[in-house]
Amino acid sequence: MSIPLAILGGYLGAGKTTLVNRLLREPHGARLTVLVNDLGKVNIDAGLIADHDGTTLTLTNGCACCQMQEDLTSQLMMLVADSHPADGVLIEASGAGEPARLALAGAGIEGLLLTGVFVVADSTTLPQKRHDKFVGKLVTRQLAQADLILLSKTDMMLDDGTATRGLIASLTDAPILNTARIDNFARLLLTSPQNPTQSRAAKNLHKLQPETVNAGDVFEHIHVSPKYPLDITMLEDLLGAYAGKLARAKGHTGTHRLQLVETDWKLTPATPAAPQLVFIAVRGICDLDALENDLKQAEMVGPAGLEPATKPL
Amino acid sequence: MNDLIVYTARKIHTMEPSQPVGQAIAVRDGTILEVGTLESLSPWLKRFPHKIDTTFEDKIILPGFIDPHLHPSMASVILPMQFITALEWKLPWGTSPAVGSREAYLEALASHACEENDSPFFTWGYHRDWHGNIARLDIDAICPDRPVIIWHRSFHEVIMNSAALAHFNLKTDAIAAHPQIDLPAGKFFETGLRLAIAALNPVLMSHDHFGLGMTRLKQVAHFGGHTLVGDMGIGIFNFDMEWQAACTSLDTTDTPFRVHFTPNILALSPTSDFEETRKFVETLPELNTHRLFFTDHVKLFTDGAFFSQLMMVAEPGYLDGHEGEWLMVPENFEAAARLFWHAGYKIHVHCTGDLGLELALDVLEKLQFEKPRVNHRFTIEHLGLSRPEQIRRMKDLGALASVNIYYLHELSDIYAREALGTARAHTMARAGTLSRHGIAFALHSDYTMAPAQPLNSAWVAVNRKNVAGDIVGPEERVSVEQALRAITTDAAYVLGLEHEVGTLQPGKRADFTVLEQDPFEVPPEDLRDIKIWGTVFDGTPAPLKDN
Repeated sequence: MSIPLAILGGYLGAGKTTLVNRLLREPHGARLTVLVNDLGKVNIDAGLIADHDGTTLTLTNGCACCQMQEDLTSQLMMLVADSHPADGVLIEASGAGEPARLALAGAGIEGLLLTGVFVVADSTTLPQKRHDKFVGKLVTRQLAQADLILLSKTDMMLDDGTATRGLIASLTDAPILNTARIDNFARLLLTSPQNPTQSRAAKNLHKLQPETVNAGDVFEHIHVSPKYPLDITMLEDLLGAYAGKLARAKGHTGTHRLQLVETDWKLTPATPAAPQLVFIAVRGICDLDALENDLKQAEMVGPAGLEPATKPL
Repeated sequence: MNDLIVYTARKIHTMEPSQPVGQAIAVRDGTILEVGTLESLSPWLKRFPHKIDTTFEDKIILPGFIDPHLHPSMASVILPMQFITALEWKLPWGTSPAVGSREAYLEALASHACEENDSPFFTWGYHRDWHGNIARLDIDAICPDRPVIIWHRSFHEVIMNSAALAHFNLKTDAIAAHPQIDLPAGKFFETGLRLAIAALNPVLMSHDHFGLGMTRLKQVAHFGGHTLVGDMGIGIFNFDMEWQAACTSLDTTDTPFRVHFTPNILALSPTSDFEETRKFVETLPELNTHRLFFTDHVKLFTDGAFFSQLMMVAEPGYLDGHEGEWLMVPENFEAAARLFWHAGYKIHVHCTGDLGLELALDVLEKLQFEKPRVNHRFTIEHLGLSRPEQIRRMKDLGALASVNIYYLHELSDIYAREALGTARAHTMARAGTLSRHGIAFALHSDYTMAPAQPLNSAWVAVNRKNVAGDIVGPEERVSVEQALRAITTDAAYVLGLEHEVGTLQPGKRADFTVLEQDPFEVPPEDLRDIKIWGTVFDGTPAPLKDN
C-alpha cells in the first residue's frame, strides 16, 4: 500500500501555513504527517499537543508536523519505514521554490504515491505580485505547476475574489477552489486524481513513476524494538561510533527520544515508553547487523532475574 | 620582546599613496615598525639590537595578498579530486593543463584514471561546452574496472562509469526510472544528483578525503601568495564539521596565513529565524584563535549561481528565455538584511545577476531610510551582471563590491553566444565603472569557482582578455595600481581589516607577499606570470616549496 503524498505550494504569505494549521486540527480522522519549512509558524493549541521535541510536533489526534530537513529524501524514507506509517504525507514547499521540484524529490521513494501539486493563491495580493519586478515570474510559474489552485482570503475582497479567479484562469488550466469552501481538506489532498490525464502533475507521473523508483536501493534501514530500555551512556558511545555512517535515526530508547541526522544527534529525556528505533544508512556504508547486535548489548538487563523497572532510569 | 628584523628589498610597494615605496622594512614581534631606507630606519636601528636580512635584496615586497571570498569547505571536497579542466589551473602540486576538446579529455582521463588501483577515482572540471558529451560507456571503454566519478565544473552534475554505479549501489532498474537520472549515460543532475551525493557523501565527507582537501587548500592559499583569506560563508555544509576541519588543518604553526570567517546566514537559518541565528553569530568571536577569526560580518544571498545560469536577469532576460532563481526569496532577504543592518553588522550579499543586484540595492535604500548608517561596508559579492546606473546607485548608498572577475575570463565568450548576447556578456564584472565612481572594490576567486591566484585576478581586471583571446569590455579595464589595491588594500577594507593589513605602514601586521618581478614594471599582459617567491607571515619568511 502506497502512502499518498501531496505537495502544497504557493508564494510567501499566500496562506499555506493557515491551511496546514487547519489540516492538523480538523476532525478528519486520518493520521497525517506534514513536513513544513518553519515549525515555529505552526500554531496549535497546547491542549492538542502530545509531544514536541524541537523538530517534530506530535498531536493528540495522531497527526504529526515535522521540520523539513535538507536531505528530504532520507527524511521521506524514514516516514515510509516507520513501523506505524502515516495515512498521508503533505510537504509544504518553500514560498520561493517551485513545487514541481518537490514532486520530483518524492519520486525517488518507494511507498509514496503523488496525489498532486496544490498551489495556494492569495486573492488579495496576486494581482500585484504577478507584476512584481522580483517575483512576478516565479509566482506565475508556481501557478502553472498546480494540479489544483486553492484561492485564499476571498473574504477580504469586496468581489469575493472573482477578479483574481479570472486572472488565475488566464494563467493556468488547473481548476480553482476557494479555501473557505473546502469542507474536507484532508480528503482533497489524499485522493489520487480521478482522471490522471487531466492534471499537470499527473501528466508528469508517467515520467516520474514513483512506484518503480526505489530509494531503498540507495538506503537501507533497520527497525529495533528492544525489550528493555537502552543504557544511555552505552547508547551515546554507540552513536559516537556510528554517527558518521548513519544517514538518519529516530525513535524512543525507553527513557529518551533520539534524533540523528548524519553526524548530529541528540537524546532528549522523554516520558518512558516502549523502546522503538529506526536507523537508516546509505547501503553498504554501515554494518546495520552489527549495529543491531551492539544495541542488544546496550539493553538495560542487569543481573539475571532483575526486572527492567528496578534498573535506575 | 624579540630582536628587530630588517628586510631589505629591491623595492617595497607599501600601497599607501602617501609613502608609496621603500627599500627596507623593519619588523618586530610580527608588527611593522616602518618602511623606508636603512638610513631612514636608523632611529630604530641605533636604539635596538637588530638583524638585517638580505634574502629579498633582488625581490619586490608588497602587502600580503588578500582573497576576501573563497570557500575552504567546498574546496576541500574538490581538491582531492584529479583536475581535468578546460582552462589551465596552476596548482601547488602541478599544473592542470588546458584540456580543450573531447578527444583530449578522454585521453587525459585515461592517463589519470587507469592506474592499477581499485579505489574510486574522482575528477573535477568536465564541461560540456568544451568536452562534448561524455557518458558512461565512454568511460567504461577507458576504465572498465575502476569506479570513475566525473564532477562537472559547475558542481551541478555527476557522471559515473558502470564500475562506480556498481560500487555505490546505484546500478538498478529503479534508479533508472528517476526522471533526473540518465542511467544509461551514468548522469545524475538536480534531484537525481541528491541521490548520488547521498551515496558519495560518506567518501567525500570522510576524514581521509575532506581532511586531505583542507590540507591541500593550505598549500593552494600559500601558493597564490595570500597571507589572509576570507571564508565567505562558513556553515555551507555543517558549521561544526567545517570549523573542526579548519581548526585541525589550518590553526597550525605551519599555516602562513589567517582566515577571516563570515557566517552563511542562509545555511544557518533553516527556519528563517534570523534573530535566533543572530544570537548564534554574536557568540562566534569567542571561538577566535590567532589564525582563525570572526568579526562582525554576515553573508546573505539574492540570486542563483553564475556558472549555472541561475542568476536573476532583468529584461531582456536570457537568450533562451529560461529563468534564474532566488536563493533567498525577496521578503526573506529583506527581513534578514533589516535585522543585521539594525544590529550594526557588516552585510555581504551574494548577487550575480542585475535583478539580484537591484533587489540588494532596493533593500539597502529602504534600510538607509529607516536607519542611516555610514561606513557600513555593505558589500555586493561577485557583481556578475550590472547596469551602469546601478553602480552609480551603489556609490550613492555607500555600497562596496567584491568582484569575481574570472567570470569574464572564462564565460564572456560562451555567454555572449549562449546566454546573454554580446553587450551584457562583455560587461560582466564592471570593475572600470566601479573605479570611475570611486567605489572601493576587492577581487576574489570564490575558489574553486576561479583559481585562487590574486595576480591572475589582477591580470584579468587589467587586461579583460577572455578564453577566446578577445579583449572584452575594454572600457571596464582598470589600472595596475587599482587591480593591486583590489587584492591588498581594498580587499582589507571590504573585510573591515584595514587597520591591521592591506598596506605596509607602522603598526600593521608584518604580512608581505614577495615577488621576483615588479608588477608595476612588467608589461600588464605579463602580470599573471610574475613568479611568487613566497610570503612573510607574522614577520617570518614562508618560501614556496620550490624556493
